[in-house]
Amino acid sequence: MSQFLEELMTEPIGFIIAMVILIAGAIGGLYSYWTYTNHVTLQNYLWPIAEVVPLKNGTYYLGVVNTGYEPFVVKQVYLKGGSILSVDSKPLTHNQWWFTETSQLPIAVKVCSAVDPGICTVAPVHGWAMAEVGVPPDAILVVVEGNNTRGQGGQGWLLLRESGNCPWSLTWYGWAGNSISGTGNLTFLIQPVYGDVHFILNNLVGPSEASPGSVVVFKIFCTWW
Amino acid sequence: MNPKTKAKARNRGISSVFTAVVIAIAVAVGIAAVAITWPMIKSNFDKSSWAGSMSLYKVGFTYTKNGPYAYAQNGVSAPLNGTPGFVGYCIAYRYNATTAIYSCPSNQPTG
Repeated sequence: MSQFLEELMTEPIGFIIAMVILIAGAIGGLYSYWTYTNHVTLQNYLWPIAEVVPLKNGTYYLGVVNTGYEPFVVKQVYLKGGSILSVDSKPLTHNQWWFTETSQLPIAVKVCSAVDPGICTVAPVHGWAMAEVGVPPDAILVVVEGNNTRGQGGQGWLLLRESGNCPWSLTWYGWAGNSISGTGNLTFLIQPVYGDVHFILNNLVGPSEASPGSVVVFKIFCTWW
Repeated sequence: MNPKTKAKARNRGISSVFTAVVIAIAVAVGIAAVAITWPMIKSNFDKSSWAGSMSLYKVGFTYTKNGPYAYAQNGVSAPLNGTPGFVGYCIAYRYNATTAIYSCPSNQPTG
């Protein structure tokens, strides 16, 4: 037996067998390593971002966006209570969102590559915060056409515009924005109650803005040409 | 030359070739390993860079003539409505007249 091995090791056939084993081992090892690095590389390029905000009805609005270029599908949503929500979104490409509503707070999502479904990653869900949007300017608007009070605006951010001379139209913007028009002589008064109110002076003569504590009066005489 | 000496000389020759081939294979495997590893190393750097940029991603709010607006860092903006909407990589909506609720990548995880 030992003589056989010695001959195998020293004869050309032994050399060839050793080479074949060595090369096969090297190729096999490299292939395994390549498979592993491919897996890790693809996983590293799965870039999901998950956000949640609470809704007024007590549920949660969950959104998942693909911030990368590797498409993925959302597979599972992990909820705070310990339960797992199985989902199957369509493949999300760059900057595409997927959203759902959940009754329990979501804490993580599992996404899998759309190219290789076996490659997945779990992303945490980011919580919410509150921010002051800023109170919009507010003003009292009184519009008088002739001797009649035509309208009263207010509560909102106010921009005024008068287009044309006669008939005139007046528009104000804000959360209670509106628009009126008429053919009589126009007088309107603006009294800001909060914040600076800006005016767009289109066929109007007057200040471009007013502050609380002041009253601005615009007058337009409706004349037909 | 007797057969034993001949065989020894041949064996030495085979050993030299064997060593040379082993070294060549080792070098080839080393080069291949580096070539295979590089994309993974790069992806690690890219992921770290992405995670860093996301940890700074925020949303801001302003008021325009069309009402309250939310704007994200990359120049994306959207009106702030009463229902959740996407602003860049954030979700935001107007909770009441003066308050917005938002969630951004820079926010703390819920878990």
